[in-house]
Amino acid sequence: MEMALVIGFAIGFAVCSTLLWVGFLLAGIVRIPDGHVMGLTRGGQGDGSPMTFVRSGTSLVMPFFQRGALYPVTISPGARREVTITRNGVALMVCGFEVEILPEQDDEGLARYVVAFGGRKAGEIEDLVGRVVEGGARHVLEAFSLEAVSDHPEKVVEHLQEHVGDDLKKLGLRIEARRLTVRPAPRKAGSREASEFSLDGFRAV
Amino acid sequence: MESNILYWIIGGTAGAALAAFEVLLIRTLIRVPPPHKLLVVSGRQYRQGKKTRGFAVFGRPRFVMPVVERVDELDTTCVPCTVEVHDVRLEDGGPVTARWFSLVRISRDPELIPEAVERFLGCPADEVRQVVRETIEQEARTLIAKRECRRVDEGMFTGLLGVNVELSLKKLGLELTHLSLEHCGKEV
Repeated sequence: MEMALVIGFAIGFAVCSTLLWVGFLLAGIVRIPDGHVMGLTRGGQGDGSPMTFVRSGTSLVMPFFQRGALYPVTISPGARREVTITRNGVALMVCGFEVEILPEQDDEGLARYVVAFGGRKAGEIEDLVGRVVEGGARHVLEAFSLEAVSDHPEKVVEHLQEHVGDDLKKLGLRIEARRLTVRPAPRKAGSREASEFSLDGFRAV
Repeated sequence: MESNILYWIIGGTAGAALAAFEVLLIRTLIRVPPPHKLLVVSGRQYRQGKKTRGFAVFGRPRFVMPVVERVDELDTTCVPCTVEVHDVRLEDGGPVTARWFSLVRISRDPELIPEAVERFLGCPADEVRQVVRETIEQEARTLIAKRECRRVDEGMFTGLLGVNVELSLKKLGLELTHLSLEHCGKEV
């Protein structure tokens, strides 16, 4: 009688325990979809970052000891956005830009990105990043007259690189492709784009 | 024979229950925050650095004593906040309406985070947003009153505003990640 109880207990514990752990381990296998990165909180002591990242393929999240979340890594803040530069509330020029923004590639940059935007959907991140770039562009272009933008686009690029690049770096982001156009506001009939140039080198330092 | 089967079943059920309890226990004892959150453990006295507090903050998996300790998660992601200030009058021109866009988050700096825990633990993001909105509006009005700038849509105004807001938010354990002027137009 007692023997049956003990053996039954042992078998029940072993079978159930095995099934549970196998189930949890299988549930911990995650395939990382394209355009995403998986952030993992890992254990261990010391001052090192508790975050690690898996960029592609399949990964195992250790049940109970690690926690992972998927984060989108391709951000296109709208095909083309425009900001109006004002002087005391009066529109002076309109700046249009197309940019592609990506999270930084190294773990430190990705950690900043995850801490800034973790848990948000791609569309929401795109909107926020677009507003950050708009604000940065407005801040920089406000200091230039329309003529100065046309005559010295390299200065605009330099200032944008410094200001917007720094802002984006704080968020773990960098600018990949860029194009900027500036025109007077309101646009005069028959006028052409005042300035249109590619912002090569406009990336986070 | 029948009673033996009964004992097998009872033993097996008890074994399965123990296995489930074991899993539950591990789940309760070890708490892991997602990468964008921090764990706030309270219930005892914790020594972090030179200070002893009633809570401790961890970004790593943490062993937690059940019943004695309580665990909360603190979201440290950016909170977007838009602030509109009406009827701004400076030296040049008439009154304007200015709108700023900011990204603020709970700081991960060990020096600042206790302030944030005391103020914002368990609060929805809207509460953080409200505090930020009030701080930016107050700092903007102070700056307008000082008349250090000629225009609100001058880069220097937003720059100064950013410095002042950053200092004020630091006292609350918040970190200003971005502040920019989003719109400036004449009052209708």
